[in-house]
Amino acid sequence: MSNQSGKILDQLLQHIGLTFISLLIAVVIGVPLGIFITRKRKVAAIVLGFTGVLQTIPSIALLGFMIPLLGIGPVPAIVALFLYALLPIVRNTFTGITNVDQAVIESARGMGMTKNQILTKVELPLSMPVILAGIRTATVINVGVATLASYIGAGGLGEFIFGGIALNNTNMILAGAIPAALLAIFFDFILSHVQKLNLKKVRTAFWMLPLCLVLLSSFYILPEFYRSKMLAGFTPEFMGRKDGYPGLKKVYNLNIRTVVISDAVMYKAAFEKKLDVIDGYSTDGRLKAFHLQVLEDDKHLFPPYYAAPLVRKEVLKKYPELENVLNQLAGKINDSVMTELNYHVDYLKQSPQKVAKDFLMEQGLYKSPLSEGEDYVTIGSKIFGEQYILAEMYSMLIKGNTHLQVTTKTGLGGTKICFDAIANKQIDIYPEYTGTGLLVILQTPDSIVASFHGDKEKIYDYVKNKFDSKYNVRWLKPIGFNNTYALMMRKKEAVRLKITSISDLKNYLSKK
Amino acid sequence: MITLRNVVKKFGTTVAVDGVSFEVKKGENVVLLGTSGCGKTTTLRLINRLTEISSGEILVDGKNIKEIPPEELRRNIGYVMQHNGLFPHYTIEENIAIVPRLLKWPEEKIRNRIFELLEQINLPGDVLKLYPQQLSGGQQQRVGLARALAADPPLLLMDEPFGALDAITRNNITKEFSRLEVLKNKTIVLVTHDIREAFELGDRILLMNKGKIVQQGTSIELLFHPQNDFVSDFFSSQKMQLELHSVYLKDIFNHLENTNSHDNATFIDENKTLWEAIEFLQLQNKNWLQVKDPVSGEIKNVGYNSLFNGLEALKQQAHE
Repeated sequence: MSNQSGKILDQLLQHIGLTFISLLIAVVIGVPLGIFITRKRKVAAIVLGFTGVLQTIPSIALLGFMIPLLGIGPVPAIVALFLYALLPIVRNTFTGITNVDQAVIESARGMGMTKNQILTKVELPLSMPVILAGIRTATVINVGVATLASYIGAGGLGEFIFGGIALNNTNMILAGAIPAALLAIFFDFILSHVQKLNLKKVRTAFWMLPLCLVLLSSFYILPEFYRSKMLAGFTPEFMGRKDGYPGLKKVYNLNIRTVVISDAVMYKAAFEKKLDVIDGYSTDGRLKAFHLQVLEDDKHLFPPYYAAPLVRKEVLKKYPELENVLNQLAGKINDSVMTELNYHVDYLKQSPQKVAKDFLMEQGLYKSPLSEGEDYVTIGSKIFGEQYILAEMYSMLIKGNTHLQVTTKTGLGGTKICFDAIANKQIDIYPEYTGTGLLVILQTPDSIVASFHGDKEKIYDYVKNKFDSKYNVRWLKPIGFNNTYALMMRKKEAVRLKITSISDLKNYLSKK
Repeated sequence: MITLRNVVKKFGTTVAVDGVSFEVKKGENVVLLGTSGCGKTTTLRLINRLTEISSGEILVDGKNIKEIPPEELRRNIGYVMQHNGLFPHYTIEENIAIVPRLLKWPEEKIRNRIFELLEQINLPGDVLKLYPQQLSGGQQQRVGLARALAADPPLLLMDEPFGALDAITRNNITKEFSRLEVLKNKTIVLVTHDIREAFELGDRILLMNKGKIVQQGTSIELLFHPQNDFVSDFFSSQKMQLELHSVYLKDIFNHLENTNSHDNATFIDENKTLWEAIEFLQLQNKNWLQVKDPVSGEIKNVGYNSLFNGLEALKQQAHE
């Protein structure tokens, strides 16, 4: 944590900057737009409807839409935040101005004020409390949504939050979440006071506000571009793991400019040349889909990640038949088969269910579901295609071979969430990887990890024993494939630069 | 000062003002009277172009108002509304100063004008720093008037200026307005649905119905020479009261019966209305009044009966 504590201030300032740059743009565009639609009532419904629809788009999805249009980094994040801030500002400006007492406007006209004079001297000052309420709402929304900006490499406190979730590190989550919450409360408090100022002072506030917005916006120091030849996008988890970026620096002495980005958009960003190097999983179907090449881990930094089902011992005791059923998959899927299956889901957009069923049929393992009894088990999965496929396979196997009902909780966002779920008995089964168990969940000290020399059997046994005694969770037999971490680049570029291993990459970067 | 010629205003297919023509002379107080929806307010708003006419023409000071930019036109016409329309975010001082500031008067002149106005409309100087919502309804209406008068416009349009006040305040303020020195030389067009208000404030009354002027004239002309049933029906509910209010002692002097034998009769100005004469008798707890003929100087002693008989005789004469 010590080396990260200095980062809090950086990320806090980035966060404030992101929030207020987008807010500033939203005010500059939203207030005039709100005024405009009070003059053109026919357009009002359309504009309010449209901004309302924007508001309902899940923030992650909105950020995802931005990638193909604007790439990654602060620009798409600011645009997305701007779109979120727009509705409350436009709506409140519209409501504020339409609710100004008509008698007052009438008398202003009657005295010979021009339309502009009525706007600036009557309508805006009188609707200012309502407009400020809209800006206040938008600020609080933006502080919250800005945490998601780290998904697309825009920084902010989200780096800590999502890093912490991925790394099973509660302190790290809090280091991001608490400042974010305090920020929201602080700005809400300040703006609530601005709002309550008497009508007279609001006129001053009206000019102060843009000033403060600009000031706060300047906190976001745009990242200096082109400091190294390549840009790497790493997931929050990879940024923090010992066998992730810190390991790359230690073992390979690799120094590359990095941004934090979510797994969901990373491959695409690499494909679209927004990123040059990314971390990924060696069995990921998107490798094939986006023409990426895995760089050889010639110094054996990444430990083996053999996948195997994790099951609660309590459940195994209650339904002993489960063990054999789940082990039917053991040794059946090797790396290339898994990559192929993932490719079907990630690229060919087949449903995980169909891919799972096709595979089981082919292997002769598929059986029609038996009649269901009262009892049920819950299968969980992390939020990527491979886990969905495995969860579906296990679900089909259980239904075909036992009378148990199966419920699924798929798409759990990260190791910590999955493991907490099984530890808290919210799920009974989920596929996990030996390396993740060793490093992320058990947080095994370096000395012990080093003693395994990357031996997959030793690691499996160690993890199995530890989980058994510590968490009452059993590792069943490995499925066969090794979904290890990998660094990858676009194939064409790798060929052009003659980079095949991580050492090659290091040498290329340290030239000049 | 103002001339309307065959003015028509249509809202969609409904005709709000249907061929209205009239003239207002300089310094005259004209009242547009009628029930709600008769087109009186619309007619008023046509004059300062808050509503644009559909056809016909309106001249102010001989100039067609269509040729004057609406803002410029309005800055030179005082406008008082039922809901005073004071700016809630402006102090009283700032409210009154709006039009002078629009006209870019020097601050010194504005300041002097405000103090002058305050005195004339009977408002204490310490209200200047207050906001409208801190004032009573009557005070707000006075500020509304002061604001309309701020730039000293020769013409004043008033739309139900006392409509939002309670009956008692309304009565007092109406009386007060009719005596205000600042209004003496103004040309005023006032809209009301209140017959008493119309009689009290109007030199001439234009009775409107369904967008048309039904009859125009002084209160006595309307009361005693109604041109049709609509006019007589319009006044029928308060007829007696209205007659007493609009007939002056001097008007019926010739019809008054003199009773010689009463020495303790009290002298009264012949420029009082019959209503005021009766009120006076009741207040003084007397039965007899002394009235002097303004022309011949003759003095008559009159009682209640004589007053009412005199009124009847006047009406008889009017019908013949």
